[in-house]
Amino acid sequence: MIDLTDPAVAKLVSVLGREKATIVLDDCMQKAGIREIASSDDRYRLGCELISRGGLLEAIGRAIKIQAILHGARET
Amino acid sequence: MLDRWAPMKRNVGNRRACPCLAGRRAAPYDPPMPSLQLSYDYDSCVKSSEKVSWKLDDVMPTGARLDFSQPFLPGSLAARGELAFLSPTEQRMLNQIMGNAYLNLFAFVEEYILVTMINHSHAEVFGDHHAIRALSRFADEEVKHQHLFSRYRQAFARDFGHDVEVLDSAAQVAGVILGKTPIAVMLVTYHIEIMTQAHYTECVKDDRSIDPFFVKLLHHHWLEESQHARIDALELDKLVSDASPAQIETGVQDYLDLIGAFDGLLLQQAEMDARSLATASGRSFDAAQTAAIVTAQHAGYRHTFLVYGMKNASFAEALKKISPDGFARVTERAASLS
Repeated sequence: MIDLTDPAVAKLVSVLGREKATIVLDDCMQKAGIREIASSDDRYRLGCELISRGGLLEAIGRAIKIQAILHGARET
Repeated sequence: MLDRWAPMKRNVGNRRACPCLAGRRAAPYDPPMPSLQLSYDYDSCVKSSEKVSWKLDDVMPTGARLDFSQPFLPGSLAARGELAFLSPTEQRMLNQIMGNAYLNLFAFVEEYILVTMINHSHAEVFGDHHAIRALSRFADEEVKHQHLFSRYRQAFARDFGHDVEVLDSAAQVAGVILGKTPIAVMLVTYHIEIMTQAHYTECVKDDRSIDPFFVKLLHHHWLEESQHARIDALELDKLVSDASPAQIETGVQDYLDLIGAFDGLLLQQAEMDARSLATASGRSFDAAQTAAIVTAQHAGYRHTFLVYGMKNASFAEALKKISPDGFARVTERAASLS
């Protein structure tokens, strides 16, 4: 179960709405091999995956990625 | 105690997981508790910032001329120690050289602060719009301050009548600072902004013996830096609230490393000041006199830029809440620099 107050998830939901965010999140987590969104490193990987998709998702991904870095994610 | 995550919660409803996301492979995220227990938020910082905002041309019009008949810096922020071999005119010149370097050092650090605030603002995109607004204003004001100090330095170079040396590798220093952990960067930034406030309120504001125009510049700088210090505290709070003890300790150690690096730069500036004074006064100082000038200037810069921030009550209180051990180490280092 995802807690919607997670800062990365909240960005997706605020832009895409819950339904679309669910689909995108599921797909991104699967592609990036992320099992849970529980740490800055998880958010960093989610951000990178979103960036690779271009357009609006890339913009969201960049914001998530930089937020994750500020909160201690290790850049890979 | 303010809930910093409230804007996000407003965006996404309450904390219960959305039914459409139920059963997904993700762990619940526990919203972090604020560590600094601040009594203000981003919105109040924006409102205060709007009240005190000023225009560059109103404070320092292009072509404004400087008056060199009075010292620029109050004695409490200037060289420390007796330099009895200097005439009163030379002592005033040295004070003005230090005043010019003082403003240059602010322009210098504002280079990395600008990058930091843009990064922090970017991190809030699609999130907390109050934070974006506060951080964007912060960045805009930092650039304005850089322009202000650049105009001042041009006026100083034009009106002082002699070449003076100042540190000029702002981008390189920004690179060193930004290479440290975000917690360390924000600790240094908070240190600088809170120190700036203390300089103005404790040393500059009521000093009638220094140049009124210099006081006016610092007054306007202080007006906006007051909000910046609050925003720094909010950002620092955000960073430490979900950091591990190891990340916080690394942040404190990085901060102390940066203090050491700054101290090296301040020594370089002190050496430049001694050369600038020799040029301006047309006098050759012997090795002992030069060493005395450098020592006095370096002690003044250390006190003004390092110790003043490290010992500041608000900074110390925040540090104590973040890391009691880190607070003890910073206190010890401040004593060794005093």
